[in-house]
Amino acid sequence: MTAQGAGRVVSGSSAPGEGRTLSHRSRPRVAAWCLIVATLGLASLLRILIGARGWSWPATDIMDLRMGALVSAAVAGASLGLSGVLLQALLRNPLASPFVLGLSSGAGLAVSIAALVASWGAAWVIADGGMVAASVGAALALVLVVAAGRRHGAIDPVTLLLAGVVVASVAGAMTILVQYLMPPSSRGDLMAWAMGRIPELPERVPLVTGAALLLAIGAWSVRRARWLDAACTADDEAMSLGVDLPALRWRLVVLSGALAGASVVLCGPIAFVGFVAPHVARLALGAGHRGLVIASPILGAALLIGADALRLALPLPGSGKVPVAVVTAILGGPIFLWVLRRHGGRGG
Amino acid sequence: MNLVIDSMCVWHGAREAVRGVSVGAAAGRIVAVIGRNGSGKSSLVRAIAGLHAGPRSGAALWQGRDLARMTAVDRARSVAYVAQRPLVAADFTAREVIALAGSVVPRTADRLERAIDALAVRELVDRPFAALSGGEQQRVVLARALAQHDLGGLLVLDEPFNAMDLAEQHRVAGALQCLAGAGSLVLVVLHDLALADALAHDVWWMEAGRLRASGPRNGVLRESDLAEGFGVAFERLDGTLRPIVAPRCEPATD
Repeated sequence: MTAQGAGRVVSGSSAPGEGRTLSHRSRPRVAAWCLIVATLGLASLLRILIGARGWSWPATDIMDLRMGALVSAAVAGASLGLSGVLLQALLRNPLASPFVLGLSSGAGLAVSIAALVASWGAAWVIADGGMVAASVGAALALVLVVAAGRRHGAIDPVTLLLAGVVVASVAGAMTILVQYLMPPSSRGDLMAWAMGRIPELPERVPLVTGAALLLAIGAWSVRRARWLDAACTADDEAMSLGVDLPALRWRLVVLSGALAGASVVLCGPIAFVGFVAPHVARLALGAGHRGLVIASPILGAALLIGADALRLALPLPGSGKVPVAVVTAILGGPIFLWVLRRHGGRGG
Repeated sequence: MNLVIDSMCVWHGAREAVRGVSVGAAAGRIVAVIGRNGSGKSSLVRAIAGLHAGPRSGAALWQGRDLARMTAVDRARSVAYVAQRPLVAADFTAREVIALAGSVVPRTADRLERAIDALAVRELVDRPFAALSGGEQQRVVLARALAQHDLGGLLVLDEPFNAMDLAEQHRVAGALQCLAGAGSLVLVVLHDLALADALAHDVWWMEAGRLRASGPRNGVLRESDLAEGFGVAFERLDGTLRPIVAPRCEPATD
């Protein structure tokens, strides 16, 4: 065996900062980014023009309501989109999302329980709009899912996914039970929220907290995007590339849980936005996380704003409007099945 | 010795996969790790690379530092590793997979290009990684490891030749010899003893979790020992450019 044909020595000495660092293959990205931003702009315009009584350019007071709904949906949708892309990187599974992993349902159950306690006279429990309750609920769901999803002290992606499905089912059933225990007078509001509702007059604390969380976690995600790329390889290889995989996984679990909790407080549990947004971003930009962690929140916001506009535009008998979560589920379900068929539930 | 393994034990649950291995290797050498299936080859090299997350004892010192106690980033500067079955759970192109070499530890584009040329994967780089053949995927992942690797460092490869055809094996073997010639230590798990005989300077022979033999290949790869250890007859083929050991087979009959 000779070295002929193998060419020259292939590696140089370590020289951080020397020359250009490695980068992903250039793609026709400019057009894709324009399309992504235009989608958000179009959805926002539609939401401003549509109201419960049809299409119109709103007067000032009505504009305030529509902008309130627009901003709420933007923060909640972006949180779900970012949470989804982080969870998909964590689990190396394109089917992962905060809804599938039970985080949304856990937060929803906690807020329902808080509302029940408040109906017994302890109104202070939800004085903050349920932010604390939702965070506790999402955290508890997370602890349960992670405790059941660990093997040999480390998070096992497949076991975690299955644990999430179980926690989501149980939390969803318990939320319905809590609703039956509520006094009839306050049951309506809770049920509307539990089915997904974009508030036109969002409470200040959840909105500002959610936006701050989104910006902070978004900045962290951009900084660690290449780590997320490396985490798509086998555990041994990701660690050999320099990723502290156990620490990264814990951070992803906590940060994606916080984003899911924030979105639930604002708009209730909403299915599939956290799943669909990363997929559309991937189709437009490729699999590199540097683009995904920015595009997924933008598309998540666009999806939820667009679904809210579509909900209002649907011509239904009477004056009733369907909950926004119904629209996202009807749109997202077939996409979920398409991805399931394409990937068979495996990574990639 | 640049790499010193001291009383290394590795457990997978209750099973002790590596039992008190002590051995060393110098930079500038290619070391083949051989042995039957389940003998502890992969467990040993993973533990040496500091990647075994479960219980272990003993130490693997590279240039005097315990690899398992380094931070992940420091370890990535010292050791590049290729797993037995590479996994890429994303729709990356081959170039994007190679670029993962610089995902945590900065690596220049020049290194990427050199690794692409050394493994002759330039015609593959724009194709989806998932669409490549097994041998092509192995070459791409090796190119990633080469782009990450610093000359004079440690390169750990777990059965890198498994899915490759002969031409691919020849090219990769040549690249590894270049690295060793430039001062790197290449630790490579191999099943093909003829390839181990042709490629490696030294051989570590694992058997039931223990080191059965280690040293220069001529001293370890003796026909009688191999026949006893592997249960297959071997013979040393002379008259070639370099004598090699090979399993002795009866000729096929028409």
